[in-house]
Amino acid sequence: MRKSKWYCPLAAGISLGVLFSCSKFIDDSTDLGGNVIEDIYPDKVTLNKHFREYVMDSSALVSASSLPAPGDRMFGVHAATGSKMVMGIKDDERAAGYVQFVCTPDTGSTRRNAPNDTLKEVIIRFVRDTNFPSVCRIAAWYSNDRSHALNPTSSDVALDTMSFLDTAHSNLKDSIFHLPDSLTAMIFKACTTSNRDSARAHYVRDTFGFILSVISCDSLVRLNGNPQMAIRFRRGGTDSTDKYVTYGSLNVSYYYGEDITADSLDTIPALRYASKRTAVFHYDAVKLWETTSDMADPRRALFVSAIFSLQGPKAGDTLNVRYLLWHKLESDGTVLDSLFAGKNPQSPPGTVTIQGAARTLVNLCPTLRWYEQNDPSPVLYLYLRFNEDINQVWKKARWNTVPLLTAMISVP
Amino acid sequence: MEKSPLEHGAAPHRDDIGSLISLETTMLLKEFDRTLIIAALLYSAPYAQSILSVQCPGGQPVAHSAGPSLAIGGAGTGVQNDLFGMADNVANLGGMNRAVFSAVASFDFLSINQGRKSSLLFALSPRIFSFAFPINPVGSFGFSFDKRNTMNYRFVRDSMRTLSNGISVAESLGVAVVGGMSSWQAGWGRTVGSVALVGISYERIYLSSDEITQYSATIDNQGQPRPDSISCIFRGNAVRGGILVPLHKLTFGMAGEYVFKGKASRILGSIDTAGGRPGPQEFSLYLPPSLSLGISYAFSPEWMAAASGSITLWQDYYSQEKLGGNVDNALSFAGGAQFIPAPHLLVPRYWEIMQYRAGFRYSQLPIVTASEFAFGLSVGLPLLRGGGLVDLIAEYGKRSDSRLGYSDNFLQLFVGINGGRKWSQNTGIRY
Repeated sequence: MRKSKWYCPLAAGISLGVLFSCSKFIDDSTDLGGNVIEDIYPDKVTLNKHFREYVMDSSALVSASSLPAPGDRMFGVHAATGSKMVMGIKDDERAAGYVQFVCTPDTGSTRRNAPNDTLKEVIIRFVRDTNFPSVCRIAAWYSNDRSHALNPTSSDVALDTMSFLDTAHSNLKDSIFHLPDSLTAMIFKACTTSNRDSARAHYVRDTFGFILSVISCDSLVRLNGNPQMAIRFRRGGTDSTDKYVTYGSLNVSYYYGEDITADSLDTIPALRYASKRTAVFHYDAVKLWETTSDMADPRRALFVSAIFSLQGPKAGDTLNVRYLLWHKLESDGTVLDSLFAGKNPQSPPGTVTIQGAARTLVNLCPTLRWYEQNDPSPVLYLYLRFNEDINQVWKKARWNTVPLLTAMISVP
Repeated sequence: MEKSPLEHGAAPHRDDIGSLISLETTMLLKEFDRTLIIAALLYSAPYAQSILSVQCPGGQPVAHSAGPSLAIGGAGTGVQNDLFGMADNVANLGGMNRAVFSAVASFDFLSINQGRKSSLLFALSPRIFSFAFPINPVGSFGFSFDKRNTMNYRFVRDSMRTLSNGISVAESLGVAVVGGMSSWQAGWGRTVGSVALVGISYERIYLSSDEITQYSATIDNQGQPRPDSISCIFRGNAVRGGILVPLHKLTFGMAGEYVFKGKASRILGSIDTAGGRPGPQEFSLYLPPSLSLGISYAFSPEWMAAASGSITLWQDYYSQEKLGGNVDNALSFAGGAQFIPAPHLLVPRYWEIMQYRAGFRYSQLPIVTASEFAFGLSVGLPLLRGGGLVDLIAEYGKRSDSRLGYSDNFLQLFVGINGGRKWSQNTGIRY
């Protein structure tokens, strides 16, 4: 049978084509022949007819300040990244830990077959950091109000103090031993009794929160890992080594507060990591939107770049900063945390590392593009705060220069 | 491998002939399938075409003849040769007595020079795939896929400037256009007595173009470009007709095409949602008819020459939306010759049966000040056992627009595959 080989040269040709197309001598595009395109579509390839610039000057700055206002305790809430809880005091800043357990009743067979079990003890276990200071005691309070973390009130139950150094527990662990009977009984009941919510048709979950604060230490104290609460019981006159339930902590966080008296920080653009003090720059944006107002169809104008220049405040200092552009002054720390967490897609936050006093340019084009097309707000606020980094706990900065906007707008 | 009865030299039996025809058909179809797949892949490839294509509604016309015709400048309108297929003159179907397929791909190199700057562009460009077969006594039928026009360029312009605050901005603008016009057609042709060959075909035309314009002005490499796009689609119908009149060694040919008026649609795309998206806009489009006249003369079995002239009546073109520039009727002319040293030797050396060809063509482009000129050389390599022909064609030319002072040079290397088999043959056996 004869077999035609005609497709061999074709395959060779295709290979040659691929080879040529990958050659460095071949251009992907050309910048020649623009006059031919322009002859058919006038102005299409004339660059300066497609872009308009906006350069903000310092007169657009209405004010520069920082949040929170004095006495505002809703700032400085940090999620315990990597289950690290931080406590300590330095200068006018304080940090306290908070851990919360949610107990659901044990309805398993262990409990159902032994209704006469009695409580022996409730233990909350922590794991200390290897750099735990040699002399340091931690106080604990029972409180379900997280806002009390920095200032436990008389309604909060003082529980115990712990010194990791004093105990012989291995693995660098320690526990709160002395919980009052009323509290342990309440926890035991929560973990053994079904308490169905008829309205919601599910079991009610009881929440138990604990504040932790250093009481005799100058250093920063870190606790690692996920704290655990265990309930031990006695069955038939014998202590059981078993536990009904070991609860992992639901919330582990630490709170920072400032005790500012003389220097009113809120009037200057200051940044603090611990208290999440956030610099706020307030701009008049009317001229920005007017840049496109004389165009034939301003609705079709579009930001192709919008850059804020941030100049680092101090030489030799490296700042890891998050930035955010927003149209309102948000004094509520929870709302601001949510914005910086990227919960609002119209204004995504960004992160930048600023080296010394050098000028760094950050891109806010997506945000300005959204405002331009949806809601050209007459005022804009630029927020700057430190990025979450447990290694810069006591980091502080004061912003000396005004971040200014440079924008390029395409005019189709 | 077992030999077929014909290869043994024995008188073939009716069943043997049936199985042989079936076997040959299977082989042909197998190669047809393979060709179709490769052709389909090639049709998705990009084209390196001149920026002058922006001037032409529907793109710049490209040579879309079969390989042997391309080798003589595309002057195939007046040539009767089954390997020329139906691309130049659909009447050529009328003279077929075997199934024929043809495929052509080209490697396009394009050089643009302006002042001291130059650009070299390249693309692989499939041009045509056709298949025709006779069903006697009703005539021959043919199918083909052609790339008719191409519209492809990628233009980039950029510059740096420093703003009043000392910040540098890199501005750039990119325009990328991909598209053109393709068609498939189904035709029929037959002889009219011994006087002429006639043919007619229905043609389905697809015109599409996608233009993306990207505006970018970055500061410190930061920014978001703005892409705008325009897509244009047209699906139309056309008829083609042709006649070939052989007079001894001379053959006259005439072919024409008429495209019916149709509806095209245009879609604007932009990320500028506030401006609104108008959605598809329909508009009327009437592509121009064309007419071609050709002549060929076989001086001897060794020598053949052909010439053709054609006109595309762009003055009849009409579009509600602006496509390209202001157009005018476009004339074109092509001529070429073929030489085979010893076409009828029983035991020739290979170079003696190779086909040596040369040709040239000149075409006015739809814009009156723009034109294209090219000349080419080629060899046709017969496939000894398969009865096919491989064409290797090199064509060098120049396109220019005298009004704008623009020109580019191109080198096109065509590879053509042609094959033909008889699906049945008269054995001369009588029972």
